[in-house]
Amino acid sequence: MEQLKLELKENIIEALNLEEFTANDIADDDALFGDGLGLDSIDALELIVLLDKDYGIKLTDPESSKEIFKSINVLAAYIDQNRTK
Amino acid sequence: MGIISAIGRTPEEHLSSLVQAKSGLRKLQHIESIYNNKIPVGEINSSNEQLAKDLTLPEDHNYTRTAILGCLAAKHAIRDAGLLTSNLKNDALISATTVGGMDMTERYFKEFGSNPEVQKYIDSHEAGDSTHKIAQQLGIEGFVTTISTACSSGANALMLAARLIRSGMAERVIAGGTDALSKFTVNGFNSLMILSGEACKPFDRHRDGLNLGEAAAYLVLESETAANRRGARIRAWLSGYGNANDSHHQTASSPEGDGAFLAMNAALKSSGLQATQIDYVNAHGTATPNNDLSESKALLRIFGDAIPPFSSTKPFTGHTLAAAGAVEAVFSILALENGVVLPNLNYKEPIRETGLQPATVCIPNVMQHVLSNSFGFGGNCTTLILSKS
Amino acid sequence: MYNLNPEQIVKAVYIKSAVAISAQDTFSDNRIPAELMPATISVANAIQPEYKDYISPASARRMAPAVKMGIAAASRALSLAKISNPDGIIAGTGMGCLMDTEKFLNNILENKEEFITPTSFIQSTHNTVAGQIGIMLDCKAYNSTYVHGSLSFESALVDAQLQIEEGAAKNILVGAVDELGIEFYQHTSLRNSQRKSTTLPAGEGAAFFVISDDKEQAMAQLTALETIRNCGIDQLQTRLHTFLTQSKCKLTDIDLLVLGNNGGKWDTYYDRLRAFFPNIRSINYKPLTGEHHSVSAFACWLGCILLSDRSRLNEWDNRITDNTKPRLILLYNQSEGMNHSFMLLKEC
Repeated sequence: MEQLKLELKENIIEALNLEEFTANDIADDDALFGDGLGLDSIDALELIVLLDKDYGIKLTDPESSKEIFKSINVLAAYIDQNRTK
Repeated sequence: MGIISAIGRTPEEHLSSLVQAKSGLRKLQHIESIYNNKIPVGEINSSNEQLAKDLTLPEDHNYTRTAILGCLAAKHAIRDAGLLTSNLKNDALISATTVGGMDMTERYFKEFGSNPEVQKYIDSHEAGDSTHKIAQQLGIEGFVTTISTACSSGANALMLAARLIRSGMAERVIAGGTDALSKFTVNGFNSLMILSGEACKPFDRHRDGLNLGEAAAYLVLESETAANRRGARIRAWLSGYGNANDSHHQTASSPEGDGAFLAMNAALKSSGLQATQIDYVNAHGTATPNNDLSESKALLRIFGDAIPPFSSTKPFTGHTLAAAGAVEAVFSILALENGVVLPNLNYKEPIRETGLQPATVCIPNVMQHVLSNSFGFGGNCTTLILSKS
Repeated sequence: MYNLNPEQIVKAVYIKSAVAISAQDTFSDNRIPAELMPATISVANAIQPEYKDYISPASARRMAPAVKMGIAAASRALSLAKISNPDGIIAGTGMGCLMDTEKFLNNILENKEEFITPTSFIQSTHNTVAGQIGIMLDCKAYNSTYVHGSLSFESALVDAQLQIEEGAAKNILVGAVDELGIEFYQHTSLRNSQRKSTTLPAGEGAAFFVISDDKEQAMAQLTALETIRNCGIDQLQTRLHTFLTQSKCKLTDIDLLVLGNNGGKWDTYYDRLRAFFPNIRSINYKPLTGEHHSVSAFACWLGCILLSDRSRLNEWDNRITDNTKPRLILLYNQSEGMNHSFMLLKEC
C-alpha cells in the first residue's frame, strides 16, 4: 500500500505537471482538490485517464469521481479494491 | 445565404428537415477512428472525393474538407443573393474555423517529412487557408480575414461583418464559418467527457453531453444602400450583436452565465430592442450539463419570467463548432421568414434548478426578432439578433 | 479602380505601450538591445522572460510558450500603459498553440485514440491566449482572436482600431503571438525551402500593445493600416499610392521604411517598394527575429520604439550617423506575394 501511494504521488506530479512538488510534499491525507494541492476539474479528467491507463479502472462521471480523488489515502484504497491491472 | 450540414445542402432543405423534425445525427462514418460506427455525429453524408467533384476541383488540389465545405456554402450564398463572382472584387470575406486544416493534417502528420505526395497538405493546415480558398473561388479581393474563438467563431464573423458595414469600411461582406469533423475534435471533446453516446438532449434534466457535427454556412451582408441600389431581396436584418467574455474557466461556463448574460445584454442594447420584443431564442444549447444550466440562468436574468419560446437546434446538426454561429443565424432567418419556432428535439423533463421548457414542436409564432446565442471555450460569448425584413 | 477601398480605416488611434518578446533581448527593459544577434541558426527561439513575475506556477504548469509569451507581453503592455482592465482583448496568431496541438495530435496517433487526456486539447485552441488573458484580468469585455496567417496581427489591429473608432472602447489590448513548437515548423520550413520563400530560420515571439483614443503619453499614432490579400508586383505602386492618398499622406512625408525582407524569392516586392523611396533609410528586422506569422507585430513594436526615442535608431545600426528621429514610418510586409500589409506609424 505504501508503495502504491508513493507511485500515485509520483504519477500525479508527472501527469499534472506539478513541477513545484515532490512526492514528499504531498501528505497521504492532504486534500488534492481545493485548498490542498489546488487541483481543479481539468485535473480530475486527467486523473480519470490515469486510473484507466495504469489500473484499469473506468470512471464515467467526473462529478462523483471527486469523492475518490479526495486524498492519496482514499484514492489508494479505492485503487487497491478496484484495480483490474 | 448558403449552408451545408447533415440535414441539407440548401436553406430550403434545412427548413424542410427542421419543420419535419428530421435529425441529421448518424453514427460516425467518414473518418477513420475507433469511434467509427459508435458515436452519433452530424456528418455530411458525402466523401471528400464526392464533395471535391461538386466543387469541380482539379485532381491535385490541396483542399481540406473544411475548405471544400466552406467553398460550397459560400458559393451557394452568392447565388442566393443574386450575385455573380464577377461582382465581388471589392467585397470583404470574414470566415471562421476552429482547427483549420486538421482533417488532413491528422491523416498525414507522420508522413509530412517523407512523403512528397502529401506535403501539399502542410500548406493547408493553417486556419487562414480555407478562407483564402473561399476568397479565391469567389474572386474576393477586399478585406479578408479569419476568426477563431472556438464555438462562437461563426457568430463573431457575422458580428465583424456588421461592424465593417456600419463603419463604412465595406459595403458588402460575405461572412460565416466552416468546420469539418476530425479525429482531433472528436477525441478532444471525448477527453473532456462531454460527448454523448446518444442523440443529445438540450435543456433536458438528463442531458449527458453534446454530439459533434460538421457544417459550413455563409451569409451575404450588405449595407441597406447597396442592397437597395441593386434591388436585392433582403431576407433579414442583422439588427444587434454583442460579444463578452465569461472570464471564468477555459472550458466551463460560469454558474450564473455571466458572459452569456453580458453578450445578450450588449446585443439588445446595440439593436435598441427591449428583451420583451424578442420572439424566439435560438439557444447555444449544446446539451452539456454545464452549458445548458448556465445558459438557462442567463436567459432568466435577461428575460425574467417572460422567456420567449426558445430551442436548441443542435440535435439536428450536432455542434458544428466554428460554423455553429452562422448555421444558427441561417436557422434564425428561416424561423423569421416562415413564422415558426424551431423544435428542440429529445427534450423530456426540465432542468431542476431552472424549470425552463424549450419549444419541442414546430410552432407558428409572430416573428419580428430572433436572438441567437453562441458560446465557446475561452469564455468567448457572442449573441446576434436577427430581425424580419 | 480602387476608389472603394474597404480594408482601410482612416481614423487615427494612439499606441500607448508596446512590448515584444523575440529572439533578441527585447523584453527585459523594453528597448532595442545594445547587442543584436543575427538569427543564423536553424531556429530562432525567443528569449523567454522570467515568467513567475507574470504567471503563478499553478497556472503556468499547463501553459506552452505561446500562452506564456502572450500573457507576459500583454501584462507588461498593460502596466506600461497604466491600464488595469482594458475595454477589449484582441489577439492574433498564425499557427495557434502549436506545441499543444502537436502534443494532442501525437497522443491520438500514438495511443490509437485511447487514454487521451484533455489538457493539451484545451490548450491547443487558437483562442487560448486571449481567453487566458481574459480570465487572468477577470476582463469580461470584448474578446476575439484572428487566425489569418501573416495577417493575424493586422486583422486584430483592424478590429481594435474599429472598436476605438466606433467609440465602443477607450483602451484595447491587442497583440499577436506564434510559437515554434517541436515538429510542425520543420514541415513548414521544408515547404519554405522547396519554394525558396525565405532563407531565414523559423522564429517565434509575441508583441502586445495598448491602443487608445487618448494621445496623452502615447508612443505613436497609428495613422493608417491596410491589408491586401493578393497584389501582383506590378500593382504594388498603385496600391501604395491609393493607401497613402487615403491616409492623406505624401510619399515624401515618410522618412523610414520598416520592411519584412527575408531573403526569399518574394523579396522583389520589398525591392520594388524601396525603389519608390530612393533617399529614405530602411530597416530589415527579420534577420533578427526569424520568420513567423506574428513577426509584423514585432515590426510594429520596433516602429513604436524608434518613434518614441531619438537614440534608438543609432543603436539599431551604428553606421547611421544621422541622428534625426523618424517622424513617419511606413511598415510593409507580405508573405510569398500574398497577405500584404501597409501600416503607417507617426510620431506623437
